Amino acid sequence: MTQIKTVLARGRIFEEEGDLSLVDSPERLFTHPVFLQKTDNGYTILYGFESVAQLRSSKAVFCPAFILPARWSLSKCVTLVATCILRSRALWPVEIAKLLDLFTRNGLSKSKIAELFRQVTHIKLNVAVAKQYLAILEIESSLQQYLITKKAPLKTWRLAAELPSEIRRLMLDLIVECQPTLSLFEEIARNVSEILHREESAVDLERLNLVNVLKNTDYQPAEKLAIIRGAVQELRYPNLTQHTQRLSNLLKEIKVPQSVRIDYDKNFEEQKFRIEAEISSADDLKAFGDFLTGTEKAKLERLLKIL
Amino acid sequence: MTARIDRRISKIYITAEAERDELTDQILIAYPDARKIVVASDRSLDAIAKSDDPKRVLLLTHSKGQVVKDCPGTAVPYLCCRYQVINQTLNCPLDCTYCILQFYLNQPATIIYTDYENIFAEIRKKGESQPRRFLRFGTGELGDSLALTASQLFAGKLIDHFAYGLNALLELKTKTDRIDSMLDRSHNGHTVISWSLNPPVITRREERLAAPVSARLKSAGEAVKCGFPVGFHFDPIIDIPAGATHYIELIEELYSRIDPGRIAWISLGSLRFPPAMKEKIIERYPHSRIPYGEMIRGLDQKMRYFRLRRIELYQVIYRKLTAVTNPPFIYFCMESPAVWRAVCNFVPDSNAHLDYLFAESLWRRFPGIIAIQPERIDYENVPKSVETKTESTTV
Repeated sequence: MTQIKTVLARGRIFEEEGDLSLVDSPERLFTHPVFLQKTDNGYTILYGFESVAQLRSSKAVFCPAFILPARWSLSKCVTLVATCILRSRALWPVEIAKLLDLFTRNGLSKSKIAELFRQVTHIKLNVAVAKQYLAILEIESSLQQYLITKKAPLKTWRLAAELPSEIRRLMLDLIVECQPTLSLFEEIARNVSEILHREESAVDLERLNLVNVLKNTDYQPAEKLAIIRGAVQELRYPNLTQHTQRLSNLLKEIKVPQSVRIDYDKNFEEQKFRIEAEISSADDLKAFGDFLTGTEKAKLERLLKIL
Repeated sequence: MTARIDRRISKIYITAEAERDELTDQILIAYPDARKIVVASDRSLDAIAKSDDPKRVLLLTHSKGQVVKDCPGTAVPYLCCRYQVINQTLNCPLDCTYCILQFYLNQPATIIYTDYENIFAEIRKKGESQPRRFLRFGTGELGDSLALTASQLFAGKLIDHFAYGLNALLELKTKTDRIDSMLDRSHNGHTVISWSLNPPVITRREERLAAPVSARLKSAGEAVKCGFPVGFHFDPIIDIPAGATHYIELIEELYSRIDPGRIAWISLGSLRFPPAMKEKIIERYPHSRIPYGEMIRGLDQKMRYFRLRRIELYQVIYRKLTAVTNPPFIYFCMESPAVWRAVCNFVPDSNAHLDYLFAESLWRRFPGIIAIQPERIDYENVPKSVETKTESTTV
């Protein structure tokens, strides 16, 4: 047990999970481990920032913790902590990024960095991998928290890291205002990223006026999300979106009997549609016959033409 | 160009069975600076050459299975032309961003089959099974036909083989200007040398190590002077801003240098690739813009441009290509009946019909190449064993 007043905070590498408001007990050491390193004046936190903060706020005097020797290098300490965390969960991409950053800034040789990195993460380090992970450090901490909470895979972290900072801030506003699911966040972020790559400028994005949509108090969060999603989708796939809209408008005009369903390839690769009719009575049969030969026939012909 | 691509070859593995082949000797002479390593079999290569760049390493060996195959084409409803592929060179030294080979082939080396007599036997067998059908063969499916001297040496032998006695035609497809060693060959009109074309603005960005378009067209002119029929492939057509203008300028340049009457065929095909390739292109070629086009998942599960956009692009190109007297035979590679109809106002009835149309066009436009006047029935009645499959994944 360590006296909590001697514990000092330092740069955080690892994130904690689970309910930290559990009662203070020796078992806590295993459910929410705290790793400290001995220093001249006391201890610095390697892992367990939230636990220590929680203990402090509950006026605890002692903190159950694993104490690592002062003579150990920081790299050695964090390697041990990472190994311990890995027993219960995979490291978040941002944690891996921070580890790499730490190894890099500690003046280790390239081969030593690669060795340590592989030992902890089981990832083979090369220039491209290093670049990808270090870019993750640029992501704003609140966006990092969102990605951690949503258990985002590495590709989503990379996607977020690749976005220009002003777009990331916009995505943060979107998260705050609309709380999108991870898949929706990914879809919007990917489309925005691809528009930027294609256009090589943000001109079109500015035209979307996303900020105003987000700030508009007339819309509910779900409406804002739908507007933004649709606008970004249209900008990414303009021809497909417009064509879908045309089809949708025409389909609304066609009076389809209840027992009949019209289906077509949503990617418009085929210039044809399918009609499925469920016939369970003479009335159904008559309605279906009228549908094919009556006033709706011309609309069906138009549908075929548009497809 | 010549030296540049061949100079990149740093190592040549030779399996024991290929060591004494005539083609092996010729290839080894052509690459005096490459390290030569004899290996027991190509299976042992996986361990030895694991970290090699397959574009810089050759493996000379014998084929284990069929080398001459029906082009895998793509799934229905897209139409294919029932081409025959000769997969003697597996991989390509060029570095095109959109190329599926770099993701599709996973050998540690560029494979060159040196047992060419066996390959010739396969070609003859194909012809004998359908003597009245005029077959089109090509080596440019899993590699560039002429980019490597190792491929050229085989191509030279193929030209001789196709020149007389076969009711068939050879196509050598390339993005290079490396045709000098082909020009003096006695081809008897039975070899078409063809080039993939794209506007320079695209080739500069997406086709690293390939020859500039002007050099390709200059080579095509030289081939025509030597009596070769030539072909062109506008494939993959890439949707770029002001793309129509660029393609029109390219066609004007093409026709200003090459008499359309000497062009055996021109293919049109828009960019397409398996969905998984998108991320790989982004990773490998971050400068490339091709992953960001307006693409949908086609009925064959490949990513393609939205159909109406494809039609717009094709219409511009098709109109320009056909606005001459005696226009070349123009066809689509892996396109849907809806696209054929919208662009050409015509749809082949089937893959067999398209195959027949090639022969009919050659019969009419290049008298003397085809010995037997093509009859449609001979193209419909393909023996089951050699019928083109249209369900497999394509390259």
